[in-house]
Parts: sequence; structure tokens; C-alpha cells
Amino acid sequence: MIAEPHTAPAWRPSEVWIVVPCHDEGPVIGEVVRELLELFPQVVAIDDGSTDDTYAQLLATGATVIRHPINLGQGAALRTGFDYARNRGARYLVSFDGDGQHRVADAVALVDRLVESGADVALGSRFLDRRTHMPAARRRLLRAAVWFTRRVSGLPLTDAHNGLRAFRRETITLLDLSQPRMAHASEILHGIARHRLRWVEVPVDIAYTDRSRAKGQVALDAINVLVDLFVRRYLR
Amino acid sequence: MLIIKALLIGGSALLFFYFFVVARGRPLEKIGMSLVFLAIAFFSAFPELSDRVANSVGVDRGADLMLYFSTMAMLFLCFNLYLRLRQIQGELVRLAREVALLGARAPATGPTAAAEEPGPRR
Repeated sequence: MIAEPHTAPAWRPSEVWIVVPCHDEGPVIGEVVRELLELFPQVVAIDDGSTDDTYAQLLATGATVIRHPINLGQGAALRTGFDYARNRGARYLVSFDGDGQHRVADAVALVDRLVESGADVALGSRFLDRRTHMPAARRRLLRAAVWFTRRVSGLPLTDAHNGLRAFRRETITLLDLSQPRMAHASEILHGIARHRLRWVEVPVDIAYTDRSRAKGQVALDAINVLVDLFVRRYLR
Repeated sequence: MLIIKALLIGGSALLFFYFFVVARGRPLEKIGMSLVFLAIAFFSAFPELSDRVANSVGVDRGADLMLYFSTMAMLFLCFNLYLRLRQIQGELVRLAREVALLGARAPATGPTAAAEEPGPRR
């Protein structure tokens, strides 16, 4: 990995597209997208069939807005956003959750690291430093998920299922995401391993609000994710 | 005894007609399901033959053998339906995403419009 300090910025904001999948995020989505737009001029938000006022909130932000006519799942929303951004000539693509738990500064850090290191993909990690304060039960569950993900994917990761990631355009084309729901996270890791992509992890902070906690994946979802990882590893 | 015979034979004849003539499907599926219905009709007509077939494969009664086979056929059908459902779900996702992309609302002014660069769509 190249770790030379750079004087001039190695990338321009106009080369970056931020992809924000969201579903029923009405109370927070406007602020999330507006904060992003302060640093990144190109934001595409995908309203994944929300039943609240998410779409109206998005239209007021000045971001590009795409609306799924029905709820298709986060994986499908990401794919829609990636397709749109690639067609608009995006060079770097960042996935950023719409529930307000990610920080814009971390998105900048991810692109910085992606460009500097020459890696194909940069993954956000909650466990590289001690910034993220999370409930103890969630920490234990995530630790177990990380352990399992490392075993199954063969990648020495420090975090699993963190939605904050930065990709090069070519990486997105190569990964060719097809899993519509939550399994896209393991699909990405599987693709990284299969195509022997160069990846880096970047410490990020996740804000655990009551809202994101209530909406986050519950422990039972972890079973689906584990089964999915297992099937990918051994039954293909 | 005669009534149940008539019901079974009539019913399987109807289903055979449906699967072989009316329903669209893959040829192998068609042939497979048609064979099942023909077998049901045949063994309903000649139940004593079904006992002999059952004995030859180690099952006591022909009726038991039929039950085993129909259970297998049912599970096979369920599995087939499940696969078809997943395929349809995949198509629905693709369709909905295409519709969504067609209706994308880009901001009227700003860098997005300037960076407009239509590329080949996948």
C-alpha cells in the first residue's frame, strides 16, 4: 500500500457520486442528504418504496432522486443508484446509509484512502478505533459476525456489514450485484475474494441513535446473513 | 369401489389433458407430470397390478407405493414452484429498477446536468 502524503487533493468531488439508499427515513433523510451535498455535488438518493414522506423530503434537497415503485430491498436500491451514477460517468462511488448513522467526513476519508492506496474498494470499519460507542449486545453480535465472515470469506476483515464503502467504477462493474435484499453485503465480500480485489479498511464512526437502532438489522436477520454466507462459500 | 375408480381415472384424465395439451411448460416437465397422471389412471383401473409392482420393489401394498410416489411428485412440484417464484421475483426487481431509473429526477441546475454523459446502459 502506498502511504505517501499528498499535497494537492488526489480526487475532485465532481468525480464522486454518493449513493444513498433509503426506506421510510422521512424524519432524517433531508438533513442527511443536505449535509452530503455540502461536500459532494453529486448525490443520488434511492427511495426504496417508502410509505412515509421520504420522497417529498428528497425532492426538496436538490439531490438526484430515484423512486422504486415498490420496496425491493437495500441491495436493489444500491444497484439502482450505482447504475445511475455509472451512466453519469462516476469515477468513484460511495454507498452511504440514509438513516443518519454515517458521517460525511468518513465518506471523504474513504475516498481519500481509496484513491491514495490505489485499492479497488475501501470498506468502513467500526472496530479499527474506539470512536464508535455501541450497545454491548450489538458489539458482541457484530464481533461474532466478523469472526464468521472472516472464516467464510477468507478476508481478514475487522468489521462486517458496514454500509459505508467506496468503490472504483471498475469495481462496481466487476462485482455485478444481484442480491436485492440484505445479502448484498456478503455478495460484495464474496466478490472481493473471488476477483482478488485490493481492499483497504478505513476507521469510521457510526452514530447509534434510538432511531437507527430500532431500524437496524435485528439479531434474527443475522441468521439469514450467516446462512447466505455459508451457501456462497460451500454450495456453489 | 367403482365410484372411486371413476373419480380417479376421470380426474387424472382431466389433469393429463391440462398438463399435456393446455399448460405451457418445459417439455420434460410436461412429460414427467403426464406420466404421473397416466400411472394413476392405470393403477386405478388395475389395482391388483399395483400390488405386484409394489411387492417387486419391497413395498407391501400398491396403495402405499402410490402414496410414496405422489408425495414425491408433490414435493417436486412445490420445489418447481419455488424456483419459478424466485425467478419471477428477480424479474420483478429488474423491471421495477428499470421503471425507477426512467423516472429519475435530476436537479434542474447544478453539476449533475453539466456532468451529463450518457453511456451505454446495462
